[in-house]
Amino acid sequence: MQPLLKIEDLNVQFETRAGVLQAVRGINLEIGPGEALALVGESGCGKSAAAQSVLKLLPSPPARITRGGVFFAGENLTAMSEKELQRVRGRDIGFIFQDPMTSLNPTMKVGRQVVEVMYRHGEKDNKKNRERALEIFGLVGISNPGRRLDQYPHQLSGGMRQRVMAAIALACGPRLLIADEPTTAVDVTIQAQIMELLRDLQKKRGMSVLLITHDLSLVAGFARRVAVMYAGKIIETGTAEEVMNSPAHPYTRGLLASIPRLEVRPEERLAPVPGRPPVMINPPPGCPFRPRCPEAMYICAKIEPGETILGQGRIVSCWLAHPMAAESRPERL
Amino acid sequence: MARYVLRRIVTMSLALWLIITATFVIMHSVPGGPFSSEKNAPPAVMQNLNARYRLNDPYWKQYLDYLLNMARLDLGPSFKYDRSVNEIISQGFPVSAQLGAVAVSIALGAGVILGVAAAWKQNRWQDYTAMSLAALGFSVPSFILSGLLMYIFAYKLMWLPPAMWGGWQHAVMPALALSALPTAFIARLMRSSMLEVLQQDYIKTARAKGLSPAAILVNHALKNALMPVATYLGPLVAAVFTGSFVVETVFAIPGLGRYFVISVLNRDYTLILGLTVFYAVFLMLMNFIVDLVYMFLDPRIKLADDRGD
Ligand SMILES: Nc1ncnc2c1ncn2[C@@H]1O[C@H](COP(=O)(O)OP(=O)(O)OP(=O)(O)O)[C@@H](O)[C@H]1O
Ligand SMILES: [Mg+2]
Repeated sequence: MQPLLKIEDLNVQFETRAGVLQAVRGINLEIGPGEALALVGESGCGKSAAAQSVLKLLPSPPARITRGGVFFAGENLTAMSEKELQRVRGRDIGFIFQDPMTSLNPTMKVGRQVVEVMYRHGEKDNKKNRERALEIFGLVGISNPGRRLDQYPHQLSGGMRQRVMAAIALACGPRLLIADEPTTAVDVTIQAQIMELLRDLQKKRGMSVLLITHDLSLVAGFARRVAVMYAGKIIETGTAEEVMNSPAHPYTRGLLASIPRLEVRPEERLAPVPGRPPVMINPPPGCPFRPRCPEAMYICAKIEPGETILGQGRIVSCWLAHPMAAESRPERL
Repeated sequence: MARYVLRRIVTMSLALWLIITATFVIMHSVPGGPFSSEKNAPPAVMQNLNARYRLNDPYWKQYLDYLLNMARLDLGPSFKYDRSVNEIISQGFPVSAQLGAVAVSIALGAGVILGVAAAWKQNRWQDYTAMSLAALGFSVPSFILSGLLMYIFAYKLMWLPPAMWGGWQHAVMPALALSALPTAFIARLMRSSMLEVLQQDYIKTARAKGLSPAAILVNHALKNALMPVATYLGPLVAAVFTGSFVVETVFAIPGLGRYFVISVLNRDYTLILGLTVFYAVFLMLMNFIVDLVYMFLDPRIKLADDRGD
């Protein structure tokens, strides 16, 4: 079956004053129709850069897609003109952003912010659009939707605003929803509700979802497949069970070990593995995870590992998974 | 709303009282008096003049009298002119205000357009052109600009009357001269506020909706970027509507602007005080209106706390 979304060798860089920052370094991803895939990784690993590059939403400059492309239903989005892309944005692909507090226009009623996207993509009768917005507000679980339509974002709670964002993303019935950390900025109970909502919508509408998160605990029960990202690369992919039950990369193991239990305070979840991810401006050779890796070997400082295929759709980029790794064990750093 | 307005009136009155008092004190601490230029007047005449204008009363009495008259909206007689301060203002202000209205409209229109164009095409020729014009507006003094306009439009092209006050033709050049500086200021303000707005997250949301650049500009960026400009509009209107000494002198316009300078030169106590009070009241009124406009622009700002739940 043809994938709905196919990201091929995508490379994205930011030109910063300190030099060229390689935010995304050749990622490959496929999402089938109706499939949910989770892209997981720490803050700064390039998740948003990758996701926003799908619709070329990054400001250029400083961002630039230097290599690779994104295909949606067989069409090359990366090669499209800005005008053509505008027809895809909001209609075929909906986008939920990280921060609901800043992602809505503070001086426009939320109803209008939803109606606007429907108006843009065809329906010019705003009476109908308003009714439809009312429906969608109900669908995304906004209570008292009739009144909410005429409120401003500051009159809504964070959870409500994220639901409004969802309503905007879903307004035109997109085939793919990209949700960039939809629950990072809301508290835990709301988080569960929003995940529930997304799961529900995905099942009911047969919509494909790219869920971006730094929290592996959200993945179970939501996404069939998981891609773990580190320093701009996907370092491990597999089904949710494979990745959660038998992680192949030390970084994934670190992430899993830090899955929050109730007694862990939320802010401690943000740095699951000791140390910080590297800033990818002129990075040293070798594996970018090596300085933090409890299992690093001699070769890890020299050469960045390539992909090792462990099975169907199961790929890991780590020297430990290399067939010859057992022999090099004594060389541990 | 009523409570808010009442509170504003109270604070404005308080501010006004402080301004009157401060002006009164400063004015009387400057050496010289209104009649010190009539040096060779006989002492008897001086005596009479001082008595007529009650300059012999102790300061506190002059001060109290003034406050009392103020309460009756009577700003007193001018020391220099044969008219009351009220008359001077009611004759000069309408002229200056008309001229000012044209100038502010030009500044607002041109400034916003230049600023938006500059931000929208940042670091491209539109930006450089707009900002060069703004730099020009900042640096060319209004008397030079006035002279230049006069030379071109009145003397060379003979399209417009060179001076005096009458129909709209008389307003064109002085209004242009008056609007140069505020245009430059608004253009810069608009550019920076627009740039700031354009990198907000909700602009990215708007792009993710598939909106065209024009729709994003008009529906999402413009209103939010206008807020700092609205704030500047209060003091701007107050300054421009009360006239400019330079421009009104160059174009021989019977406005209010020149009195601000002349009254000080003449030590015309009542006129100085009257103009100061008038200017202060007008400024506070404009700021009040700006606050109301702001509320219209930004729903987050509300007078009463009628927050939704
Ligand atoms: N506009 C920008 N200019 C320069 N560098 C940027 C810009 N946006 C992002 N970056 C850098 O690119 C890298 C990847 O950023 P990205 O926003 O994709 O991370 P992320 O995985 O989404 O993290 P988070 O969980 O914090 O959202 C980071 O190192 C970040 O500092
Ligand atoms: Mg992000």
